[in-house]
Amino acid sequence: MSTINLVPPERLARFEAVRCARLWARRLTSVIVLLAMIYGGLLYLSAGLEDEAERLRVTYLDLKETLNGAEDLIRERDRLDERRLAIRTVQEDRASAGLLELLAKALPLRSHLDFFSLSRADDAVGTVRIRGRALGHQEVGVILSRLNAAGVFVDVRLVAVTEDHDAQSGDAVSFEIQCGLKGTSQDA
Amino acid sequence: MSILGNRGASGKRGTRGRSVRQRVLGIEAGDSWIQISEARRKGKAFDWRHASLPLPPQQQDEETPSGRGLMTAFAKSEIKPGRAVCAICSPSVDVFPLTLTEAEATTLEAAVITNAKSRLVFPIADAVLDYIVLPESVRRVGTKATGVLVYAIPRSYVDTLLTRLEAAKLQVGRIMTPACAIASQLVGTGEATRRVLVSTGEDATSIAVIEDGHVLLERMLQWGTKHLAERLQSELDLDPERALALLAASDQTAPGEKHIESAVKDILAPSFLELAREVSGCLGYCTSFLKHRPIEALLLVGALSGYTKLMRFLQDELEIPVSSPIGSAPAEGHLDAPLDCTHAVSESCALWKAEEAA
Repeated sequence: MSTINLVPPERLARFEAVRCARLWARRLTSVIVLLAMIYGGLLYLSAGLEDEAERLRVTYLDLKETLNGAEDLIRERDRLDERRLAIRTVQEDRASAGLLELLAKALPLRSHLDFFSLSRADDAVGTVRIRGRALGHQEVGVILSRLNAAGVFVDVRLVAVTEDHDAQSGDAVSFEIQCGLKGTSQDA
Repeated sequence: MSILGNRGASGKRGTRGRSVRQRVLGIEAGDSWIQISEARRKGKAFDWRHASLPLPPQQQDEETPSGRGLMTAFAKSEIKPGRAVCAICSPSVDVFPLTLTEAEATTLEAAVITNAKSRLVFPIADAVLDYIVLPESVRRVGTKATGVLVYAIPRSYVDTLLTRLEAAKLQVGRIMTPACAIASQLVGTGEATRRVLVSTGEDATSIAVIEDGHVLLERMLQWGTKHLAERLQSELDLDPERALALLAASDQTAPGEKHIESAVKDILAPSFLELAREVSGCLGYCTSFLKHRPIEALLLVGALSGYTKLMRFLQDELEIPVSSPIGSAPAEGHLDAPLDCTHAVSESCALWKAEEAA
């Protein structure tokens, strides 16, 4: 096929340059439009994210408020537990005081207690252990009989009795007695 | 300055189907007229739009032509300006064959430039040059030299034309001749078919010998409708418009106006004879320098296509069948619809693909 081109080369070059410039201008415009669309999309998304962040912030504040309420409730519960414990302790102390009074009544003259323990199993009144000094074995027997007669103690046992040959205390004896309290597991 | 710098673009060889992927306008330009065609696809067919208008001579002080006239013509014909392929039909285009031996120069281009210097009537530096290498199949047996057909046009002519077209927002990426434009539409089925193409314009006529899509010879003749109208004008003492009207009407005279027909025929006969002699000269060159093949037909296109007086005259004088419709000519290759013969050149230009337009 025969073909020629009689357009001067410099004109062809200029024509090509203009064509290239237009092509690049079109491409640039397309890129700018694309970037604008992406920017718009990001703005739209960021607006959505801001709404989401605000919603989460409100939720967080709600949760925080709820948590604070829960903490207040826990604190109130702890406070009430402490109060209940205090009341119980006071009540138990009162029971201990009653026991000491009974024990004091069971001691003859010139006898005294060196040690008193009241061990409890859970909420029940348990075992009472006492150690003390008396003028003699007879006095220890009096104590045992009085404790048995008090009606509060059960299973009164003399755990140990030892004589003290101390010049100052004369023929005094040291004793240790263990007994249970009525109405406790010790009875069983 | 490179004279053959556009060989890279113009030297492309490839098949060109009738598809218009990107719109290209086809222009046929003469010295004082211009014809524009635009193809718009309508399914498998083309919807053609044409505009023809005179191209007034450029004024001395007209440095930046406005192109308003062209723009108005475009608007009237609903043609949108854009990229274009142009065929120049003017005697300013100098076409001559060269026979180059292998020892003449290092490259074919250098040999063309060296030989063209002595053939041109204007300095080669002021010319735009391009060439076609003739196919080996047309070489005579035993010839080892390369035959080329050189096209040259004054740079100032092209610059003026392009500047005026650019003012009308036409970006012309390719300029050729009518024969080159139409040759591609006449690619045969492989069999070598030699035809003569006569493309008539207002100022000039292109005579070419074409074989299977290859232009073997082309000649621009200062001969056209204007030339014929001027003869009628001077012989019958008519004003230019009436002379042109008579020329157009003389082919369809009423039965009672036989005397007018014979008068017109007598007046125009010398001009017709001039054309026939030029055609005969071209055929004689082909017979002398190229491998001999019979001429299958003479195709008459352009302003005088279908002008029966001229067709009969040429047929009688040259003894070659003369036909006008290209599309119905035998072995028209991939043409799927006939081109309008009046606008065949501009339509052929409009069928160039956009990527091959420049």
